[in-house]
Amino acid sequence: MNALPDAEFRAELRAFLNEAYPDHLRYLDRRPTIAEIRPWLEALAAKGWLAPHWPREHGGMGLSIGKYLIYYDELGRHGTGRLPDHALHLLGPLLIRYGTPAQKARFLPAIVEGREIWCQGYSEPGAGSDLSSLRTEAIVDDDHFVVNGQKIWTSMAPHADWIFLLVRTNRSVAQQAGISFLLADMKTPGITVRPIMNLKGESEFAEVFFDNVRVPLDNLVGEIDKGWTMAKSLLGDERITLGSPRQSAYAIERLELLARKTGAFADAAFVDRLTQLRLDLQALGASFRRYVGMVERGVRLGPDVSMLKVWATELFQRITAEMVELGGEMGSFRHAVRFEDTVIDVMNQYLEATPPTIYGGSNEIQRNILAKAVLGLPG
Amino acid sequence: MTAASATAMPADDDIGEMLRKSVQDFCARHPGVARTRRLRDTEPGFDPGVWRQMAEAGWTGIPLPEAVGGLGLGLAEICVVAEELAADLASEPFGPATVAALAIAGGDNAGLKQRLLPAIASGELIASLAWQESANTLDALHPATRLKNAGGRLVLTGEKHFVPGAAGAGGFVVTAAAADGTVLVWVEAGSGGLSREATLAVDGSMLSTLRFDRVEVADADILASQTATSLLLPRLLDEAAVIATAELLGIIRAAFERTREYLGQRTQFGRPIGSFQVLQHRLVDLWMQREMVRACLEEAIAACGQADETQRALAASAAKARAATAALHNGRQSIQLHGAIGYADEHDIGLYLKRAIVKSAWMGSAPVHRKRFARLSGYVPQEAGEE
Repeated sequence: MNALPDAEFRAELRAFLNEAYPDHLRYLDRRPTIAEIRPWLEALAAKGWLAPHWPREHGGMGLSIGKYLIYYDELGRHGTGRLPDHALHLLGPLLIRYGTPAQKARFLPAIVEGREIWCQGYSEPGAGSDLSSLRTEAIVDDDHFVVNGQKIWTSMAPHADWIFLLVRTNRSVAQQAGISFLLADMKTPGITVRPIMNLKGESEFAEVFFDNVRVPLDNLVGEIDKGWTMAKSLLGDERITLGSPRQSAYAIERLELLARKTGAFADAAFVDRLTQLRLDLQALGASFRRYVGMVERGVRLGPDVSMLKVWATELFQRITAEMVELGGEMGSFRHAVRFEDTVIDVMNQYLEATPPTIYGGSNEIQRNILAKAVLGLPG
Repeated sequence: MTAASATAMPADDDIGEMLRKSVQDFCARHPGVARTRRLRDTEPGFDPGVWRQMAEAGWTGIPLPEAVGGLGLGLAEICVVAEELAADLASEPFGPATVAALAIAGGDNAGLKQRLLPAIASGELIASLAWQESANTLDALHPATRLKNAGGRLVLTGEKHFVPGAAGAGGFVVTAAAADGTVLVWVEAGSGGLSREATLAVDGSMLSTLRFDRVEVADADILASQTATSLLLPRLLDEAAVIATAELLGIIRAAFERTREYLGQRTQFGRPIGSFQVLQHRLVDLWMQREMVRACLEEAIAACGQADETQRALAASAAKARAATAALHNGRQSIQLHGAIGYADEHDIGLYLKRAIVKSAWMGSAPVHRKRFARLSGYVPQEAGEE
């Protein structure tokens, strides 16, 4: 598939999207429920297209980074809803690199076939940006770990079959050193899920409580006490997608549409601001393409690539803030703004743009990393 | 990638990187900051001996054919040299002279080219482009300066402003309205009827007003006919804006690097001030802008090599607008982060801000390019007289 000319690859993706993606779920102004998205998940899995970046031997498409970006670009262009993708992006690559043969055989097929949905248990009430201070504890008891503690902001937890989580297995060493990586069946006795409603009114994430939860020793991935290093090492070329200009490009089109509907193009001050946003998008696109070019030339990305995430997410916020202000009273509508021939999801875009500066390493943490790792400023 | 090693990637990496290295070596031997200090507020404002050495290295003829002594290279390589010389704060008029050389090479007067280009490549002749008649414009195709037929002779009458490097120039490429449209005319310095008045710019260089009072022009000195000019000028102004972007990137890089080093050395409250998070984040934001200038420059260089004129114009304006704003912001913040010493003339950091101010205005300020970008994006109607 990597040998296909880009245009043909795009055409093939588009044909499949037209055929297999449910029309009523295009450009949905919320994350689709598992029940809604499952037919699409299964269609992708049946075609072998669920894991574009996984190696073919593990059921992935084995796409080059260029084709991988086209894949996500086309899904975005079609307005597909987000899949339960934590296992695809995080767990799968980690198991492929660090898992035992038995773990790979047990878990990878169920992920690429869309049979098992995973959630990610990293954050805790007292461990957000400072993840290494996590306190959920796992103590070895015979052939099991006994897990006690609490995870939070766990996306998809109410619907997940499994959770991969970081736990403290050693208190006598430095904070980062005593952390291990476990896999737990969500049906295990002692696991309780409490959904948390977000600002959009969706219960997309949850708290997960662990009360004497018994996890088999075989479900430890990698070495004991070494889970932190392992989880952190997994920041591959896919990080580049966090800086994709796609969301901002879509939002600015909505902003332009709203401006046409409200006559804002007659307002020179607005046009100035819009122009600056367009220029900022152009610079994001140029930077994004620059990094893509580096990856395609085989350059290993350094920590500097996170500038894309910072700029992309902040630009997305600035565009959507402009939408809300431009809309005036209509900009305060909880649901989409309707004109005779057009619907514009102002508030959806605005709220969608709110968490990306927080998740995946808050932008403040990203700037700390850039300052030290790229600019070499003192600690 | 570290802050120090990152550089713009030219079209041909190997040639570009060799060129970059040789400019850096040259600048290490002939530090530009020292010349800028020594020669500021004087004319011609640069060291002719250094210019000769630059010519020997081939930099005065980068885009010119090998047959006239040029290197036969392109915009990417011009930008490499422009960026590095600007980073060194060299006072020689590399950017303006190269823009004029591009204008001459792009004309359709083979005889004149044969006369001027070898002298430009060898460094004997420096030319400057005289096109602007008011501030804040990118319209070169509708000059008020006229080339009229007076009793069988062509005479040039009008005024051009903001001409850089004019005191050191042996001649000027002048835009003028002739009977059949706008043409480019070659006028030698010292021609009868040509007078010059210099205004001091903040970086110590001079911007000149040229007055043409019935300056006689021979047929042989029509550098570009109406047809050639209408094709050449829009492209030339875009390429010049891209060269200015490369210069601004060089200035940003150098000021940024000095500031980064200062934050690591300066101690207050018992710690290097670069350990304070508020300053770290501010430096990161400056660095991100610098990286975006770099990305926009690369795209603009690539767009100048493509046939699509709108895409070329959009990319050039996006690059120059961002570079100009970033350079001014980076310059001001560099001084702020240096504290009081940054406001002292004895410290070099202020020289970068001053050069940034001048180069931000050259070939269109940020507001001018933003407006053009808005028009090209269809946000506001085209104005009469625009491409």
